[in-house]
Amino acid sequence: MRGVAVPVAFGGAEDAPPLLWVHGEGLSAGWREVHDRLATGHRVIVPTLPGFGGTELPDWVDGVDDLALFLVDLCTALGEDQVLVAGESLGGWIAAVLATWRPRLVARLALLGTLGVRSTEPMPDLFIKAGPEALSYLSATRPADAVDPLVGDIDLATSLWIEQATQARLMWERPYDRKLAQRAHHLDMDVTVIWGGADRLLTPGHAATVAELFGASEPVIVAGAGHLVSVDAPDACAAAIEEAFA
Amino acid sequence: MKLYAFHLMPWPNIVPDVREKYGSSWVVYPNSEYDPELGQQLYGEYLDQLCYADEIGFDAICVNEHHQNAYGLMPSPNIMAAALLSRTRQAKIAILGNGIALRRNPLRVAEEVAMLDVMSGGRVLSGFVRGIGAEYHSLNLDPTRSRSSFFEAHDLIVKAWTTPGPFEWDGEHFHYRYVNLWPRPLTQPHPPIFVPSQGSAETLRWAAQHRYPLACTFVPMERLKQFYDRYRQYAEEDFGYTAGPEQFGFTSIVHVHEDPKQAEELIEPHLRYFRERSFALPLPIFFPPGYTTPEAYRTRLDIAKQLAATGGPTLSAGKPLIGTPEQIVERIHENMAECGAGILMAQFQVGDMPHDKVMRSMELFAEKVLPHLDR
Repeated sequence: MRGVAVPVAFGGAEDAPPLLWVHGEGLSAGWREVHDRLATGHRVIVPTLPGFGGTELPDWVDGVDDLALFLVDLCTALGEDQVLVAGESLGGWIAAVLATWRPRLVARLALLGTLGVRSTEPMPDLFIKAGPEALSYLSATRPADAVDPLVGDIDLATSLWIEQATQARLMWERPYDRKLAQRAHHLDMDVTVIWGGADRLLTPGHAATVAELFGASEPVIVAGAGHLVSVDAPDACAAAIEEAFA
Repeated sequence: MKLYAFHLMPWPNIVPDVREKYGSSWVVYPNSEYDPELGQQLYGEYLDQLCYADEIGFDAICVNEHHQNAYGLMPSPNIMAAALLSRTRQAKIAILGNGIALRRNPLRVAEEVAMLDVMSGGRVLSGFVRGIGAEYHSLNLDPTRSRSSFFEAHDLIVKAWTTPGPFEWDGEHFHYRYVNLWPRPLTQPHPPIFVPSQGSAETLRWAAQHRYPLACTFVPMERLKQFYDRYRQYAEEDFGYTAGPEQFGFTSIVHVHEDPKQAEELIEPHLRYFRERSFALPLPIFFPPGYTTPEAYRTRLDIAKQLAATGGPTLSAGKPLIGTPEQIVERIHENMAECGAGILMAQFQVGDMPHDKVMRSMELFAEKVLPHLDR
């Protein structure tokens, strides 16, 4: 699509309600355990965004909005008029922008540890941290040493660096979207905010700001999970999404 | 052979445990560690050293651009060039270089270099750099756009210098309704352009195409030869000319003493300071994501592994220019011949080396090395 080849994984029954998964960073693209569980009740669509999972970062990707519109193109190509959308971290930001511009396309929205919103809580700069430390901010369960270029897997370290380059394109100069707050009222669908209780990147205090901005009820806190809730606690994460989309 | 005097103007009091305590002497090293009064003294001494290079007949004096760090205190090389131009008579001032990819308004560089060129009667050499990875952290600029904004800024500046204005510039990164430089440069068609390289094929080919001399800093001899050979090959095969030695320059730390053992002993603590403190540049700061291609990054990881094993960067290409005047004369000729370079960028001050030590070495260089160099 649009000059790039990206993998899209599908799962679940043909007649089940479609659920579009928008992945985040930290090597979390592609079909994972959380999707197995979600596929028991949904037709799950898991695209890998350009610049992630070993795909090329095209020149036309200049900001989060470009990836949101890429998802609009994807839905059109798949013939989907309306989908449930779950976005995690950077993917949450992309999903929120998608829902701002195409509210009719998004039946309901689940935001998991989403980026894109500025709160009074501090946000560490992961770009200046070495791979293993950066990864430790994203997940409470993943072995971070594997991405240490000096002692770990040099291929994996390079893959993480390539993904971080995509993130740099999207959020280096400003790690949130100043316009999202003024445009938040366009999100007129049901929004659920899900957060890792052990999130070190954005504390649960940040979740409250996000929920308030998008008119969601109290955030669902998944105990023990780090920033990438779906990686650290796939079952609890899927359960929270199922409840939000029930 | 042309002789350039290279200087970083470093901060000499970086704390010994800078890596453990702060992570780096760049970007995050707190500026409460900077003492402006000592800073004034240092600028004075460093300028004196460079002016002395002019007095003893160096062909050029180099200044450079680094931001928010204790490694090199020249965030504006053009200010330093202006100071040097007013205090020197003969030497060219080589700005190596302006970080043109770091400017949201690169026309400012075109203006300032044109001013320096006009004021000095054409004594400016204009290097252009992308800036090292750390600058992208310090200036909050997307490193993935570094290369393309470098090339566009270059094209804009050269056009602004050479094409009658006003004209419109409509690029990917920059847009100007009116490009119309006052002053225009005195040197025609424009001040000579130098570029550094970390060896990417794209940059080497581009430099060869424009016949821009390569000015390489802290590149070991084996890699230096590879860069130069590729450049020569592009020049020959793609652009139909033979690249001469005047198109190749590299830095080398120099320390002269009558006693070879003392020469090494006297400089060793300062080399260690430079490697361990000035160069406290962890990989994510040095090579932020997207700053270079994934292939180049992998190469960099291999180098990082080697550096971790050997204890720091290679500071000189070829045989070290640390020793007696006779040794240094011989080694300079050997090193230049080995890679076919025509420009030696000699760095006398390194790390926390104090003024008097630098001057003693420079004076001996003037007396016993310079007269014997094949210039």
